[in-house]
Amino acid sequence: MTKREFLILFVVFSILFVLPVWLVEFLPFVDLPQHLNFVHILRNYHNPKLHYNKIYVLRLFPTHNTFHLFFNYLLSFLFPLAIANKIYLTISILLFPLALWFLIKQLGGNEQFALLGFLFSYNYNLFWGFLGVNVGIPLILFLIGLEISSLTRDRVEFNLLLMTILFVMLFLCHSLVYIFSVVVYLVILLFNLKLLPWRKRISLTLPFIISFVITFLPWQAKQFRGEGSELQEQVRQYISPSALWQNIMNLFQRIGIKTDQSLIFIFKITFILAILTTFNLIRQKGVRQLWKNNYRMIFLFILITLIFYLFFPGEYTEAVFLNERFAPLLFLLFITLLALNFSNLNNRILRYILILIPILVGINILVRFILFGIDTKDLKAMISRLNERGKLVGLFYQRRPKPDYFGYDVYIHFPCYYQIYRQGLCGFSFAYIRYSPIVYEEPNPLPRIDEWTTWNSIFPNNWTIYDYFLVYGEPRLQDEDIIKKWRKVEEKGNWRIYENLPVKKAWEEINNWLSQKDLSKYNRILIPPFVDEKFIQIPTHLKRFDYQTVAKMILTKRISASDIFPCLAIWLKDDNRDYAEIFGYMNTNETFNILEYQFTPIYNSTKGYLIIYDIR
Amino acid sequence: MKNWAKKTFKLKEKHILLALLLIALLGSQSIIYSGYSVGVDAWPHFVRTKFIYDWLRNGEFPFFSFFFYSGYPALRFYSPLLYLIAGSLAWLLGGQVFWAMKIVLFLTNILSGLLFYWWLKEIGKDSFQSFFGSMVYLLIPWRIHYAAGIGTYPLFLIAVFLPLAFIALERLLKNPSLKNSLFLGLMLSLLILSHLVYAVWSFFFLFLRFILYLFSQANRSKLKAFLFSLLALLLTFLNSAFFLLPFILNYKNYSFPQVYEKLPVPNPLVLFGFLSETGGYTGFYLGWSIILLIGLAIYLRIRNKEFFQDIVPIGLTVSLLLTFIPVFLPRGEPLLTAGLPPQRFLFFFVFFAGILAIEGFTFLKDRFSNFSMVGKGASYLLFLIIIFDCLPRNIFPAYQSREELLGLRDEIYEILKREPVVKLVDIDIPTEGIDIVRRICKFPAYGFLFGNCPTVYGPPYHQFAPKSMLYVYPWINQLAFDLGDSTTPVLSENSLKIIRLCGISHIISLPTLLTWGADSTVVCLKDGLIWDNRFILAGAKPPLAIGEYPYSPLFLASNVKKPLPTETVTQEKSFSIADDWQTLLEAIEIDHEKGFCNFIPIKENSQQQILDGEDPEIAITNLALTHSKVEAELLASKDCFLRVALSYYPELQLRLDDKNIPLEETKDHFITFFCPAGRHNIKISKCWNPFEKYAFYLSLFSIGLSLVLFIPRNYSKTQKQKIGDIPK
Repeated sequence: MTKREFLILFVVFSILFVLPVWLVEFLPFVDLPQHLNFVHILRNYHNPKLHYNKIYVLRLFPTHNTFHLFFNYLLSFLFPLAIANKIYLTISILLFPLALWFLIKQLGGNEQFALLGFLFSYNYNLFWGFLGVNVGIPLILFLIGLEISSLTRDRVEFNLLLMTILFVMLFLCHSLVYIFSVVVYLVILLFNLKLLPWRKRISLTLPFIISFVITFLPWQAKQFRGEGSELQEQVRQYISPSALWQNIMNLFQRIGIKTDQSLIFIFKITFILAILTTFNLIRQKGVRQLWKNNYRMIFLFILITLIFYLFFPGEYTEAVFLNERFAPLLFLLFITLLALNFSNLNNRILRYILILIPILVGINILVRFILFGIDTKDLKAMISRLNERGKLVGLFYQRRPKPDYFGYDVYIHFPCYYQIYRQGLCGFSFAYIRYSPIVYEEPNPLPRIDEWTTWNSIFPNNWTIYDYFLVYGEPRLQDEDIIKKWRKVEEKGNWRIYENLPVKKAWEEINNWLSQKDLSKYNRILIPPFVDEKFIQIPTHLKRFDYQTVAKMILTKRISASDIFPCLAIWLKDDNRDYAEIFGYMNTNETFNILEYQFTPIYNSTKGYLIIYDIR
Repeated sequence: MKNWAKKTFKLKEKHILLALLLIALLGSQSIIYSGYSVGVDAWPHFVRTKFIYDWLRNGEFPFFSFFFYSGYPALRFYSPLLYLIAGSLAWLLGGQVFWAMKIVLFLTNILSGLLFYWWLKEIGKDSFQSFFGSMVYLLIPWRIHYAAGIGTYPLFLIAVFLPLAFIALERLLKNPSLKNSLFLGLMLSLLILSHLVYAVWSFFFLFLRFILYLFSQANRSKLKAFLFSLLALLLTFLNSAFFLLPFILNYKNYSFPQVYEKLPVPNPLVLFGFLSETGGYTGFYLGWSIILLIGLAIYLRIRNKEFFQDIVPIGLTVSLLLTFIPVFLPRGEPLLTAGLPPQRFLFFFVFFAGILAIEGFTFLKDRFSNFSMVGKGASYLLFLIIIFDCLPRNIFPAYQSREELLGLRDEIYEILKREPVVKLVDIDIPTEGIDIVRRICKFPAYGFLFGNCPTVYGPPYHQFAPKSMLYVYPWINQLAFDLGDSTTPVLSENSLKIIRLCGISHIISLPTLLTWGADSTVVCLKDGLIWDNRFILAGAKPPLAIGEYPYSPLFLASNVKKPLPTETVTQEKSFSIADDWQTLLEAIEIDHEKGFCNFIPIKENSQQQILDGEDPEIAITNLALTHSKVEAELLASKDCFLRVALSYYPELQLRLDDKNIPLEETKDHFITFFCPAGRHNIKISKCWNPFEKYAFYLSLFSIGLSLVLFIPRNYSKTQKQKIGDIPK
């Protein structure tokens, strides 16, 4: 293959592999909606209409896993959020073959193998929506490539600058990839110390030291909570024969699309070829060959990756450190090894293989995305027709499309699109997680629910809080009894959106009652937070407070009870949000006293979903 | 030097066999895991195994059981070999039915690989080629998922006997002799006794091989081979006569009307691994490594114009055609598939793939050897590719824990073991649904296996259910509907009639759900049964109750036998039912306490009979039910006609106080007979009919003769060879 042919193929494959991202509205990357939601919140944080600054707290720096957030935040000043995100994904897709090309080039391998880097553009990390780690993996290849090049160059100033930037970017991508890159970087440096003069040895440690001081160290200082025992438990759990067995057995399932055996077959062939040809090399040239020149670098790199993949603990100071995330990197390194083993090969068969495999894989992925696009094509319109600023929760009895195109639970975070399109609140948010760059103000506006089996948190009692339910798949038999009470707003394909009709009707009754009664003796009214504005019609003379705000103000001692009471209060039955701890007695529908105030229920909606209290 | 070479070769062969054994062990490990099968289809196999175990333990008459379908000829219409082996092993293991079956499946799976190796050696492949082909045969992921995952257990035996049958045929064609005839006859009969439908198609492929032989050989050897093949077929028939004869003779009379459902062919995208499997009929991954090798072999055959040279590519193509052709057959499909999923033909694809893949392997090995980076490791490279591609897919969770499987039922079955259960019906969720698989297939099997409870339902397949099921299916469906109907607090009179007419003593059901709201869940247990509500626990999933019918349910007495018009068979969902099930139910009046009914419906062409006097009253004591007989002591207040809730079969025998009494079939296909007043010992049992008896003796004689003629000859020959080997 000539250089020109290689470049043409690179461009053609780039188009083929980028195409899926641009063809469909929704992308099948599990956590992506949560990350997009964070960008949306940051972008509108000070928007007075949305009050996000009252709901969320920003913890942007020094915080890892913020690369996607910052990148898209900045880009969203130029493009709409969806486009900004697609640009980000396009770059991440192209980074894989580019980074592989760069590393192979630095190691002196067969550069044609870089075309196989496209196979990893849609990898395990991307499908899970680990958007930082996904970009971090190719950045590590760039970093190590630069380090290898710096070992042999005389002037390394520019490389040092680039490597420092890369280290900082890696931290922003994810602390896991940062730690990993530091280990690889230092081990390679250590095993090459003999070759380097003292000055160069010191200068090459600078990128790590600088990045460590400005990113990792302050982040650790902020995060550290003395969770040593937890870490020990993690180590015990992860370094066990059963964990090791699982890691080995599932290696090939953790690279890309899980439900496609043809792709897995290609990865297996790559693995076997890399191993067998290396054994053959040892047989021909002796085991010392592995310690010579660039083989030493790649072997150290593979060894550390393998150790991280097989043994790394799952969590560290609440940052999810999934060892599985290294599986795609491991295979990128196997391809690099192949490129070294076949460094002089340039025949017809290899050319055909290197053309055929990416084409087949590219078309395969494209078809899957198109089919996924068909499954989700009406969803945006469905969500866009809902009222603004409501509360929507997803009930994904089937978390994947059927047939399962990717093998990942791609739908579980789709309720976030309601917040993005209609500025409401969604059932589960990453804002509940305290190490996120954006977290909820306490008390949380909605109860934290189960991320995976939402229905366990919603049924039988907690559904009354929400305005809308996004349902996919066949509900459990016992849930259907409650779902029957809701009104189906729209059904398209496998998607259904329901409205909380019983509570809506209860609000109508409450409005009716409020309009008929003489409320002149009251000055204030206490209502549940985040109620759809269209549901509630409160006489204008009544000053509105919501439980959320009141609870927060009482907790922070900014107000006392006498600033609110006496008043009228509307209580949503079985509301279990955080503020319910203070007002929990109201759920009993009985008269009770707190301090010197008496709470007396004076009206009940027909089915008991809403209760009006007189507090004096 | 020669000895040394021989020794070396033997050593290699030994290593190869050890490697094959290791691969077979690794590939079969999922079968031997602890737990209980996930696949619904596995449960009838365990039931049949327990039949054999029970028969052996109790020394009972085989091939009939009153535990299912209110009595039916068990294993008469389903090839019994697997259950004879597993049931016997269960007997040796002291009743470990599940482990016995797992051990048999595990060992046969390993054995199938070794026998396939033998078969490949027999047709001239070298040791490594044979090893490679056997590995393919063992490891194609579809095979173990279809056999062990879905629960097509007899396929394990077919996988053993098909290579043996081909070995026997090859030997017969090479050397037509009595010994080889006996060998072939024995193997073919073992195929028949393993699974009849697979056996028919195995015969087809063996016949194809025979036809190809006829086209390629001289006339004289053709005739000899033909004659000895006929002898083998005769022996096949004789060996399996004890199963085959009753099957052929009774097939038409005993078959239950079926609603034919066209089952889908496997999804090629799933077979190629582009999509994950989504259910039993969609298929499973075949292995890209194997598909590519087969594709290459077929390409080479076509290029060298050798496609029709032997049975292998033809067999492979035909098996694929049979798998996918049902899509294009609007009517003729049942002839091919016998109403079962067309993907069964993929087994023959696996069989021929094991041979054909060797050709692709040999070609690639030669080509790869030219690459300096691969060199002599080409064989290992291809071997590793197959291992990496297929072996991990052979390891899968085929079982679930007892707790997951049974939940509260585990405790319920323990209680029922100590209760006099005449027939148990596990309604589960009380909703209408005549063909709910859990209700009609899974729970009856669980009840029998874990609680030793008889039931009105039967183990699938329903092709040979007794005719009484034309009424029982819709009746139980009605009962389930009534149990779930929250508008009434009492079981309807019709439901109680159903319980009595079917002879049900116990019911397991979820309680009737009255309301389920934000505050609480309100359920009720309907009056009419004695309910044990200990298992309705908060948080128990699902909450269950045991309902006991307060009277002995099996017998009903009447003064009147009244003929009614013959029913017409209609369809409800996927089942055939009698059109007049409701009319009949409403016409019959029952006094539950006295055990009296206003009349016993009999067949249209029978004579109406009326006995004078008051309504009869009966009392039952010492009711005992085993697989082959039902015994009871009955006290009748006066002469009466008795209706017994046992399915009618002409070969059933009734002894009333040690006297044979003729039985009559009721309109709803149960049993009725005349009973004089007083106390009586009643015994209803299944007895041998003459052709069953003689067919059994015939098989015994034929198998014995085959073994006498076959084994000792071989034995003496081996002895002679050994003596001949001693250096003089």
